[in-house]
Amino acid sequence: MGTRPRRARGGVTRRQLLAAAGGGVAAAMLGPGRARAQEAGFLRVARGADARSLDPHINARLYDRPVCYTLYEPLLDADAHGNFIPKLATSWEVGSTGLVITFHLRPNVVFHDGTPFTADVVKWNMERILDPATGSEHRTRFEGIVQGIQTPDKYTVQYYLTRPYPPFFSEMTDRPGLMVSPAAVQKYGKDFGRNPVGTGPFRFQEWVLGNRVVVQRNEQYWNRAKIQSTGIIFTDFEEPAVADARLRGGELDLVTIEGLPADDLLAFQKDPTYRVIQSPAYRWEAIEMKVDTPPFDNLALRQAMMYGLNRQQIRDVIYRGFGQATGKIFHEGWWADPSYNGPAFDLTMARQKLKESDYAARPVPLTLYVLESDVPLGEMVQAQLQAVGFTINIRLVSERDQYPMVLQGQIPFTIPADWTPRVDPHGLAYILWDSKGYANSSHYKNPQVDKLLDDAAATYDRAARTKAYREAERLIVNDASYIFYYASPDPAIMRPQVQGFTYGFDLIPRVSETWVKS
Amino acid sequence: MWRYMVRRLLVLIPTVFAVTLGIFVLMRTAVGGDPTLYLMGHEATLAQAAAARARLGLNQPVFVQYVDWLGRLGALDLGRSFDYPIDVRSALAGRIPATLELTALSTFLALCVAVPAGIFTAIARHTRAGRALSAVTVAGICVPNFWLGMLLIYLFSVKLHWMEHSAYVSVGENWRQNLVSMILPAISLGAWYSAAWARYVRSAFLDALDGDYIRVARAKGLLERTVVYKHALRNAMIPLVTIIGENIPFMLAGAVIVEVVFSLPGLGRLFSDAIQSRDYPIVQGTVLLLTGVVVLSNLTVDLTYGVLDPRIKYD
Repeated sequence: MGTRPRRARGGVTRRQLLAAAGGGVAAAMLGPGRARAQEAGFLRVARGADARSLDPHINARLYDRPVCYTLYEPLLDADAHGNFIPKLATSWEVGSTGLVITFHLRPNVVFHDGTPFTADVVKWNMERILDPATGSEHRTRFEGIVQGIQTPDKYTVQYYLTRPYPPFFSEMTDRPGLMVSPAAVQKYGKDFGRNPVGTGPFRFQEWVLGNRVVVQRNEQYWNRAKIQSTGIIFTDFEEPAVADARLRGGELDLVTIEGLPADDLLAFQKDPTYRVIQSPAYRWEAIEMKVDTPPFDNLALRQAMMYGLNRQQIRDVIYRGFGQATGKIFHEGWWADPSYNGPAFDLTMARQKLKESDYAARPVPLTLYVLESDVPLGEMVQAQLQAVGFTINIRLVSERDQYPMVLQGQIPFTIPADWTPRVDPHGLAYILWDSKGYANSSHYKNPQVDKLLDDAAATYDRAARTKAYREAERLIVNDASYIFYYASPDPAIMRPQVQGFTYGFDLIPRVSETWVKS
Repeated sequence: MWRYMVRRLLVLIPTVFAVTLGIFVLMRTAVGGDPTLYLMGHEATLAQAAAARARLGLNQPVFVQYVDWLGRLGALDLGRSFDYPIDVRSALAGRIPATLELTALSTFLALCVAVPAGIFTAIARHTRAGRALSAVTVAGICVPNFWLGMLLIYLFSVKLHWMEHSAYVSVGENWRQNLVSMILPAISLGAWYSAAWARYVRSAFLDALDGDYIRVARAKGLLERTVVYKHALRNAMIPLVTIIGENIPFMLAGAVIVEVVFSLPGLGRLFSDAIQSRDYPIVQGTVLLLTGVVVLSNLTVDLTYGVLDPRIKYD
């Protein structure tokens, strides 16, 4: 033992080496006050997951969208009431037949790569989405509706539709309306999602997979005077509690993560050193049932659940009083009915409905698929429905599996079904409750609802549309393929120095004009 | 020794084959296994999902998919991620540095604590201080790393405000900033090992101190310091090296949690995300890489025995 010669260390002993290493750690720990040069003037935003693709037309997820809205601009945007406001289109009009929609574009706008934004670019963007080879999930929004696009001049684009289609405007506020650079798509090909180029107020700087996306101010932006931040750092936090702690530790300026613990949210609301801003629109939650599958094909059984659900208790206990106990669908926008709040909790009525159903005679246990992160909610609903007379078993399902399994009919009874509003009511109502809707996973079919939704989507008369959606809402609620119980705004928590933050009507944070007051 | 190394490396081939085949079948037969609907988001129709399935080759039998994957592996092509707009090789290459640094730093910190603590608790086992430190090491084994991570964030970030600029940056970009961003994760991951390894060192050290050669060394009149550090410590290190080698896979598993808690762009987080989103190419690529790491780390441990104890021969 110990016979090998000791290797020379260039005059540094083992002890000195250890001391140097320890000293380095200590020095780094004790001197963290020096900010990275990159962070000066930067807004630091937390989001719930890593970006997947920064190509808004292909595979852009919920957490990619706030980034996309800094890099790209839509033709239109929507204000807090769901009214359209100009972005890349300065004005727009509908032709007398309702079949031609004309957008007048903002002149002299350039992409980050220096190429000009023109009507031909807008045409190319729509053709890209419609091309099956692109693989855009948004193709279904326009298939069978857009039959042609004309560009009468450099800054005018006309969409020719197969039928009058007012929801087209709201589509132009969403991902399909975000304009990407054709030259950059050609240059990067399938890697465009990692090399995004738009006309937005920020240009792409870096994407460290699994950690952050950084964007830097576009000095050539047409509305440069409104942009204060030098750049924005979007850091991923899969664990909301960690993002909360990082905000409290001064490492973040703004947290907009879905699924913040209710207790944390309440603590921030009570804390005067932070500001909580709520979105103008509400995301809703419901129990979803596949209504062509026994025993859920029995209306009385579904209504027994509808009346047996104590929504107030769910709101007060599970959500700690945040949000609204509600039994309806539409909470915002011109189409919402302020005089309607959906069915109320009525245990007597629930038991009576259960008696009317076959279930009372043959009480089989029902399996409720509960999202892994919502076990307390599932258990509360289980207890409430058992008080009505149901026997409910709970099985857990992961967040990533829930929707695919529901859509493929593998899960007939689940909680929560959770959707965010669109800028036009057609966006959700049609896909979820029209018998032809591609996301009609409850297999709901009511010819009266189909007609109301079809009619409402075929007229530009807002009064007629409002009436139709309100009527359809009551029918859908009463048919109870979805049992609505809760709706809440999305909260954004920020340091008080943060200025200019807004939520889009679609609950996507718009942070381009947000900045930190020094 | 070379023959031994070649033989051990050849074992890698059937191991990789078995592990990748297992993960291949498991991922594709798991509940909700089809990734296309998730990948395409809520806007996709079942028809679009079916088209995507065909485009990704997922409509082929599992065996055909596996043979296809193996074929491309021969050309060092690990495929392209279903979820990210990136090929698997680049995704893995981008994530290796953070995980490598995290595990190396954790191991370093754990050893810095474990070896002195183990020796002290062995030598001073009959003193109050020795017993107290021994109790601390037992307590350290009981603390889960994610919980410790949250506590460290709470202490250093929320309470002390020491970590205002702890966003991860690579070593090349800014080594100082990198060290700040890695120190808490390394402590979180390394704490358990420092406690566990201290117990091993203590036990191995006590065994070594009982050895005849120690008695002989003392009888020769050597200084106690020489007896302890030169003779006993070296022998006590052999079981520690074994345990470090065995712990590397567990450390990589622990890195998954720590990387999620601290938002580090490491392999663990990539793997965890890929499993959840059924990003098969990433899962397969990561498993392949980790299998190689485990086999090679075990081989390194076996070879280190020879360095620590020249009597060990490799046949």
